[in-house]
Amino acid sequence: MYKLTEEGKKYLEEGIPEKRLFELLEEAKEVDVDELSRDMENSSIAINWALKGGWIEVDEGRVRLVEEPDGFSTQEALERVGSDGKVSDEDRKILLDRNLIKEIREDVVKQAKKQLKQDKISNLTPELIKTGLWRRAEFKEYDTSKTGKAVYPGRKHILTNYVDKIRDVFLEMGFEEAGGPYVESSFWNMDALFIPQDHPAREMQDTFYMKSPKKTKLPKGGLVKSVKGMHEEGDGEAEGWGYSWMEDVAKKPVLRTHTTAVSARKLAEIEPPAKIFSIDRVFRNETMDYSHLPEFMQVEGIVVDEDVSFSNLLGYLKEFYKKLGFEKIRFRPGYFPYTEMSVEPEIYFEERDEWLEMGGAGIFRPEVTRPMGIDVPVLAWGLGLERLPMIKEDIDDIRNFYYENNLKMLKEARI
Amino acid sequence: MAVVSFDIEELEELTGKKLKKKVLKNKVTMMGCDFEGFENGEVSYEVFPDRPDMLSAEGFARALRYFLGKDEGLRVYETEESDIEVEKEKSVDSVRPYISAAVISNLDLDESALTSLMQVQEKIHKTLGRERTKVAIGIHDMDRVEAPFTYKGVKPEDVEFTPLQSDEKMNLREIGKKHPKGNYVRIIEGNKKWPIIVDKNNRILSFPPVINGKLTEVTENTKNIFIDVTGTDQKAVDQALNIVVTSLAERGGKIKTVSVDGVDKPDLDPKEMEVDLDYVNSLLGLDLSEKNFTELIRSVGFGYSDGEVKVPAYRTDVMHPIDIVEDVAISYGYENFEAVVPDVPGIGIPRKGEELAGKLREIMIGFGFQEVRSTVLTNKNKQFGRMEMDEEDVAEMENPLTEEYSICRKYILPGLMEVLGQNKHRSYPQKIFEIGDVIVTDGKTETGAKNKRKIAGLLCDERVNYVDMASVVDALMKIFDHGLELRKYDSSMYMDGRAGQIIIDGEPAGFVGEIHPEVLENWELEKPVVAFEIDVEVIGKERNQF
Repeated sequence: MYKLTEEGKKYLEEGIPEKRLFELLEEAKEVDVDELSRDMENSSIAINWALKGGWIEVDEGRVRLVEEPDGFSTQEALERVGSDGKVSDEDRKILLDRNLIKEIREDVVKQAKKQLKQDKISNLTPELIKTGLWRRAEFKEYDTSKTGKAVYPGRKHILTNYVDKIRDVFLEMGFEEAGGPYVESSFWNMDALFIPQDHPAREMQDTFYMKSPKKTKLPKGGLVKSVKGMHEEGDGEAEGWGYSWMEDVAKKPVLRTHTTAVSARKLAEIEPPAKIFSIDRVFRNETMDYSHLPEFMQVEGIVVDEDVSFSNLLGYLKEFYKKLGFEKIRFRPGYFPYTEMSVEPEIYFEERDEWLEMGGAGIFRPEVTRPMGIDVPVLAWGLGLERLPMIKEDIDDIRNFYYENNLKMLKEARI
Repeated sequence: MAVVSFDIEELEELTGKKLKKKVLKNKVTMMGCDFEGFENGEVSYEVFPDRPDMLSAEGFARALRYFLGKDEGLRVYETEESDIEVEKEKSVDSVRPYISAAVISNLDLDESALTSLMQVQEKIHKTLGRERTKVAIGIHDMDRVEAPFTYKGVKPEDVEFTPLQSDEKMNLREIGKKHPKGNYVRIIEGNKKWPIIVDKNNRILSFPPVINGKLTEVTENTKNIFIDVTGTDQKAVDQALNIVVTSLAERGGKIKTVSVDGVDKPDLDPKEMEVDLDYVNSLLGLDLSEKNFTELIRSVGFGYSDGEVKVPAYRTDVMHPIDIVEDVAISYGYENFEAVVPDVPGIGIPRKGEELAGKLREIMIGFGFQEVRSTVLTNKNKQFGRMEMDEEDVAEMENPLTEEYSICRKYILPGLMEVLGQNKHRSYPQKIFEIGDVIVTDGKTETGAKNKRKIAGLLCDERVNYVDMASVVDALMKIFDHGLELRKYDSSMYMDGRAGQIIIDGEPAGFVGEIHPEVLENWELEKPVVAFEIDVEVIGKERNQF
């Protein structure tokens, strides 16, 4: 079976190019080649075929009719192509040569014909399209008010959306992103933050201690000695805790309880000014319930510079939440062993008509920064993350994020 | 964390002010404590560890009076010298070496005063006292015993007395076994001699840090109180004593000093601390004059003259001028600060590896995979047992609350299997992935273990097979311009002949395969699963992403 190509259809309708050229020359006798190519489609094809037929001549850019052509066999062959796709051997040669028809394979035709035999056809198929037999088909109509089975795109986890957004906010504000190990030494997690070695936060019910690895190494250089000194007797200006600090306690590995450990490591490394943030997991040995997990995310940040102040700390917190779309923020005094002032920022959630605590912030105590060689104020915050999407997406159980990974919820979450 | 409840009427009496619920809920927290709730005419707050002086109703009311403007300036506590002595014997040095004591006379204790006294004692034990290991307080009816007192160590079987909450005479060892407070014996158990306090006539007042004797039980009829504070840290012992005696002084009690080995306790002289006004202003971002500063600091109970701040005896938390700056800030009101973003230079630089993780995430999502997040915390059965894998070295916790979460994951895939288990009733196909850190133990690192970033994905449906996932891995590698080789891999986690080890540019980087039906049964899954897990660091190597 044969079917007209796009070109074949066009020629059948408008006449083949050389025929149209003849009709033009019959009247004008002579035309300019450039004018012709401007005015007539496919003029070069027409000129070629006319030259082959020997009924024109081209001289100094002008086309002149020499004699009357004896018919247009291609045109005639085109007109003879039937609606059933049958073509004589002679016509086939002419038309295939000029790419005016294409062959449809027998098996395709067979399949299309078979499909046509159905009473009402449900699917439009490649066979029906290729053969053009769709013209004879009668298709079933659908109930277009129906959408069918639910489909889901692949998506980011809800928390990832928030992490990405928060990363963008900090990067845009000129903060460098930092990270640190989950298995951390007590030294970086606590001692470097001036948390005394008998502090309740170190007790077993809050902190995961490790059976393996058994021990960590303390940093080289003078830092350990300065930290020890600060805990034991202060540094003249500060009083210190007044107890005997033990290396072995500081060497105990823990699962980091806060990303403040990341800040502590960075503080020992950097020179002011610096702006650093981190978003990652932390671990607490707590009983799990709808609002508590032994593992959750923290958003950490520090700003280290000569003249930064408490007012600036509040400024950063306010700006951060504003960029996340939370306009109403207030600050309450808080307590953390390593900051003074300490502040608990609270956000107003319209969804709940309630102020909710977002985490902690403050200025690192000089007892924390001085052993690290930092003599300027360090603004710091460690904020919760899960609470934001929980309220915004109306998720009432924090376990849905990690422990259940409710695929329906994740797939259907609104943007 | 210490949550303390106060009778609202009592607080009103002690402050001399009507306290509306709204004020108690919102305003009071601005002086530095967390509101917890109302119940039966009581209000509860979480008192922060730096303010043990607020653990008693009297101390809380004192802070409240300043905060609400009823009081201002330094509170000085007068003490009267007495001839009461405590002698400390060397026998306590190795078990509980420090003791301080005081006497309060002229008391008129009602029921609520007694309750408050018990509460502050209990809360100090919990916080400052570290569950009595560091500090324990004993409170006695002074009129039942006779000074001088002796603090000494004795063999636990050598003495007996009737403890509080009992009618039976017991020796110290028996108290440890039978008495409701006997569990505190663990604190001193390891020593041959256990500490007691006796009076002139060798009558036992107390067996610190466990229990007092019934002999000196304090009742509403008690007029004069003897307080002992014992512990392992002289500073903490003195702090606890100061907090208790100043609390009782707020009830009208007269404080009398007790000489402990020749040193008079308590020492209630205000501590002096030099504070530079420029330091205060620059740290707070304020421009306070000396007059402003003086007003602010006086209105929270400090004294000030000539560059020196006088710290009241109950404010045991002040150990650096910055502690005074915080009180200035609270006095000024956190709500009154202007929140200003300063101009601190800096360039936004993402953490190494984050950009790569973002790209991997984008591609997996493009393949139609849903991102999930499973926990780093897990257990050996999930990581290895159910996966039919041999146990490997992992980071393992010493004190997990439950066995359920007792190690850190080394592989992400088991977490994804768990997600499938939780979503069996939801629609298929289920295509999920996770990018995250696992923990690998490594003795060469500083902490003995390191984070390692991995990506894992799995596909679960009626009909899935090896190539469904191998083709995804292949596409991933092509996008990151890596040569991928899949080597035949035998593992009981995967079906025989249906798993490949992923080799990226010659380096082993992970696995892809059809999960063995044995493993599916372990997870109670009923549809086939194909999965992969790849070391992201190998993918990122040439891109300088790790």
